[in-house]
Amino acid sequence: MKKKRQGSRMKKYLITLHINNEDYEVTVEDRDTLLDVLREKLHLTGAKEACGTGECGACTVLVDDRAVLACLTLAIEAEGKAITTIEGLAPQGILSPLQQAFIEHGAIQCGFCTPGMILSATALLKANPAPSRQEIQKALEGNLCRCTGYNKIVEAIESVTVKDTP
Amino acid sequence: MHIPQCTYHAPKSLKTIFSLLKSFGTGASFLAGGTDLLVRMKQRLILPEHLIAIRGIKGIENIRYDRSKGLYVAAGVKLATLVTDPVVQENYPVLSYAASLVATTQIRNMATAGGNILQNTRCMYYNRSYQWGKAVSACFKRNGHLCHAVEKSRKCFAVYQGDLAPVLSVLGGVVTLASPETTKEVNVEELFTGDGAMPFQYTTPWLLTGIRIPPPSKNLFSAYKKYRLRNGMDFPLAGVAIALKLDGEIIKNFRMCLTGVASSPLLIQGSDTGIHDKNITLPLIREVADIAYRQAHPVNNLEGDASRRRTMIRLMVEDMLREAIPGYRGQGRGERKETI
Amino acid sequence: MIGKRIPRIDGPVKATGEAKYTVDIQLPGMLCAKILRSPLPHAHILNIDISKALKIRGVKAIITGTDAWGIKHGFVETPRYPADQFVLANDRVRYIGEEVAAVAAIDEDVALEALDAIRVDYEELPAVFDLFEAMKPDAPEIHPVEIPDLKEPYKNIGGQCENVFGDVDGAFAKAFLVKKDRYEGTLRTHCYLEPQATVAHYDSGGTLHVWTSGMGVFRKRMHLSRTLKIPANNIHVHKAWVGGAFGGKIDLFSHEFCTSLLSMRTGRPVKFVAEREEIFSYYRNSQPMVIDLETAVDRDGHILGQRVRCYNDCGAYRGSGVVCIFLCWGFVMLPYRIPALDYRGYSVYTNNPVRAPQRGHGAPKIRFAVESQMDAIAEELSIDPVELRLRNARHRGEILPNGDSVKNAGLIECIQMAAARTNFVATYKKNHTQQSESDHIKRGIGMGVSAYFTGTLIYPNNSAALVQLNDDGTIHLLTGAQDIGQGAETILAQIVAEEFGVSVDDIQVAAADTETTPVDIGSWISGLTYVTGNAVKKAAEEAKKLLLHSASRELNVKPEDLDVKSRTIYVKHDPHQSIPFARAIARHIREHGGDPIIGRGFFRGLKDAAIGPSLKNAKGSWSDSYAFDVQVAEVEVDTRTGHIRVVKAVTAHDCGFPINPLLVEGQIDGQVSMAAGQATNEIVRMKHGLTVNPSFLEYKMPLATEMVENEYIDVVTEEYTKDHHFHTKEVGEGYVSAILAAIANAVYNATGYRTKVLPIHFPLEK
Repeated sequence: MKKKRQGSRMKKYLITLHINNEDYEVTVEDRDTLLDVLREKLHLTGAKEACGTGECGACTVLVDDRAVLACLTLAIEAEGKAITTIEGLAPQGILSPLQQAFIEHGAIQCGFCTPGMILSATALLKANPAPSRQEIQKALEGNLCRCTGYNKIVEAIESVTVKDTP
Repeated sequence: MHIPQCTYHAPKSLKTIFSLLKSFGTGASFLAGGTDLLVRMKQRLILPEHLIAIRGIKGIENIRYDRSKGLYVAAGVKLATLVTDPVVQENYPVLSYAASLVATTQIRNMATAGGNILQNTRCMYYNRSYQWGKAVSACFKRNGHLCHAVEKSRKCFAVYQGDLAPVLSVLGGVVTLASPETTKEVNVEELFTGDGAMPFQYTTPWLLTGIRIPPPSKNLFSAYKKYRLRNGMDFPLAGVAIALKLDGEIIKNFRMCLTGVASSPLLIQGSDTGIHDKNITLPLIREVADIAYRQAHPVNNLEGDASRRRTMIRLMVEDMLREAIPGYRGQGRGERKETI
Repeated sequence: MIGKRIPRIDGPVKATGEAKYTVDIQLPGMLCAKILRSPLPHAHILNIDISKALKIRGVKAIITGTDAWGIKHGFVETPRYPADQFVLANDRVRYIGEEVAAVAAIDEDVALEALDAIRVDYEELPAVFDLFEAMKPDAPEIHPVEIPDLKEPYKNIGGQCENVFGDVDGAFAKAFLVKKDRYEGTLRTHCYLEPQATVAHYDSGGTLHVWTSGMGVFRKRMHLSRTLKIPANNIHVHKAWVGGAFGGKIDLFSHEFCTSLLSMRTGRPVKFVAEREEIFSYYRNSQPMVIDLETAVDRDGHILGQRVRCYNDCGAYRGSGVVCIFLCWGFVMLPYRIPALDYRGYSVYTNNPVRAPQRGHGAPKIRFAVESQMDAIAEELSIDPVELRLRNARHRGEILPNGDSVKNAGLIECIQMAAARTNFVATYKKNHTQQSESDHIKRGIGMGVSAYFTGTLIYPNNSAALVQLNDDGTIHLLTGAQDIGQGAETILAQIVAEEFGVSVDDIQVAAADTETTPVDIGSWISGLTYVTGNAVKKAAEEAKKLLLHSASRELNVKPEDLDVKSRTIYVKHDPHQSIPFARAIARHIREHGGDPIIGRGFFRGLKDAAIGPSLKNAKGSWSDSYAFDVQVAEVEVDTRTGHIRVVKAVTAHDCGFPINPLLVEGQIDGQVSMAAGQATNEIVRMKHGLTVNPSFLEYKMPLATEMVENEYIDVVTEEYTKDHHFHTKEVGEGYVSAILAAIANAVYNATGYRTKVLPIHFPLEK
């Protein structure tokens, strides 16, 4: 397999990303992922890299209200979309009902999966405000958690169905 | 882990795509959802210098349904759309169901129908980073001379694990391909070479632009079952799609397509099995399941025992065909059931 | 506060993504580090040529084994088991992935390019991957054997633990029934979500700043101090949140040393984050074991004696294997009365990556073996599985073979309550009779019993804490405790809150920072709530005493007439007489020449023991208290497809008393999930020393769709007392084992198939 010498610097572009209702101008290379930009350029470190290959969900963000993996989304393809990261769920410091529920139900242990998990749940409840337990589990199939066994995560989400959508 | 350096293009027309391809030659790859390609790039299994995104092409996310022409799904339609689109749910529920089983919620929001069909074959020894690869000799799929899964093999056993292709195949799906010179339509199953290392017949400059499925016929029973170890995320360790037309209890038309057990989807036509015009009975079902079992020759190159995967082919065929027996469940339109 | 379901105090920063983990740390001028690893399982290093790599623009420093002063480190460092690992390979590599060189560069692209440009000449040596092959006299030698009391001519023995008591031969001679089986627990792994990561910055003042994803900052500091030859006061291991560990991040990792040394060389911060595939392939997976278990019972099922041989594949260096084989002895002798025991454990070197403890550290595998055999014995003697266990379970106050007491062990209640809640015996019998029915989906119920220790002596052997009262009456707790997800900071805040009658909101916890918080045993030895908790309690008590003393002078009553609530101190018999904390604090400062109120506390387990138990022969006191639990699993087995679904788990546990039941439930949930995975689908597949399923896709840890329904039964055997240290028992590791055994037993109950291997591969009819 041929390896290309990565020494030469590639062209950079100035793009505008609309994140959490704010516009951010960033300089990116074509190959930069949205996750690279969020974490390394914008210091929005809520989205995490736990695998980099699309298998863990820790980098989940919302793009136009749908859950996607930032590690496999090219930053330049995210231009013109409405991106929501975990940092955008509590404007003015008021936690969303889901965030509140996660805390109250003990759904957070080490917290590393938490941003991705909450965003996946947020997307679910936006599309389906009253999901069944099975639907919740299916919606979260791409968000790994090793600490909680998922029990209190599911309970937290169930506690905010129907009555308060985030 | 960063994607290696490359240049991105998002042309707005096929014409521009092909002129770009002409300048870049073999140094370009098409980019759809990126959930297969970008991972393999991060692993440095492929290093295209140019990514040509299909998302800019007009109509690349269209779905059209016509009672006489059937369903047209453009290559860029997201899997999530196939899951929820009312037209697909109503007329091709097995397709909607199969799409819902692919990977995860997030990936279904990103991945495309065309990309899912053209996903590259997989193997424990292949889908690894190039650093990992330093500890083993290069195998056939990595331009080497051996297979790590099957000793002394002369060919590559990388597995085709797509969920959509077998379903499209049994439904009589055709894909439209475009090249600089021409466009053509081929049956879904004709896309595949059967070779694990080079699985596709039509590589760049050919671009898959859409999929067309004939209108569903009245007595069509279609279903898909997928075997995997967990109830989510995983590729099929074995999968079977069937489409069956019954006239009362007599089998008029039958197609079955296996996935996850070979280097391509394996289409088995009813005409090759001798079951047309026979009554659908339990013994006949066992015979059909046996035919499927005998066609499947998985090896131990995925994360599940090969003989179990083979057995599951038999069991899944039996389970689906049993449900097709008139009066068995009262249904005939493919079931929404969880995976086993 | 004690016993309350208080939401975690770190909940908000984690729910908003504000919590910074090591992977999130960014410093100006930070360099990217990458590690060059051996592609061979066993080889001499003939030469390393870094000259070409050094010339690449953007490469700032490269180090190899010759830069590392030849100082070895190890999980344990005793005269019998001296440190045996180099931070970077010196002249030999012993597993695929062993660290050979490290690069610091301006970005990842350049660092990776530099790795490719380093040339290493190897002379390959024969390698061995199977532990029994490695023990044979003609096996390649990975390390010379230095165990003087080793009786057999085995090769590659990294550790041996032997403990014999009672008349074992006599027990077997008079047994009514003897069962002999071999059990295998294969390789599983931790799957912590936060990758292994370290940021190091050696500043111009000569202080090495380190952020690392670990399980105890003081332990890390000790290892770094020794290997880098820097005194402890010049190493500052900073607080960072940790994204899970489960035993896989305890001892020193090469990348921690490398980032530190690279920073010292370049004068810039250096960051290393392992790739997920790197973690699955080359980092520490768990301890696989083969267990030969022989049990002799009398006609009524009482255990008369046991012979146990544990064979542990510890990987290419000793690691924690020697601890694991000691622990397995403990996990055998804890729950049931065993009059005679012949135990021997071997830790065997192979050319596989070094192993680590994983939640339970031997207990899951040994309890799987014992509990499977107990069920088989019950069946053969026609005694129901619950009754058999009740006959053998230890009672309160029993003295263990090592001289420890089980004190207020609640094991009997755990068995009774778990059995009652699940209607165990009737369900067990019903399932058994339904085995022969035609429905291919079978249901099974199974029980497992386990026990765990609560802290022991291993460096650091002590915890200390400071409780400082601020002028306004709010409180600062300084503790070296590391929160790895279990909720340590919340628990400790609750203890302080309990002493002062305030809410946890009045307490600020400063934790896990070697420069500003006192020493702590760390979060990997199952003792945090007990050891650190008691240190914190003492500190709070001392501060409270000073507070009440000043208040008593202010209010003109005796200190024992005072009580506290909501940051006020009031007279018990006349609550209207009260002053705010602030006033008492101000008085104290005035009357003591400026001395603020600071309470100091410390605690050490096994206070009369100089050292922990012997790893050689298990002699000596092990732990101050022992936790017991009984778990019942309900499973569904599809006998057509072999699919096993763990439907429900009931956990009856004696943790002493729960300080925060919400957190305890969280621990149970997580451990049941791990056990369910380990019983069904989790296996690290290796071929010739290389992991072939090194991804979250191919290593089947449970997804949300595999969630198990959990029920909890608290068996309370201790209580929180004022003026005395409290006895809680661990909850973080002990609930993997019994449920794992229970699942295997439940599969048997459903189908008649008894597995001797984990994960369970249910055989289908041809």
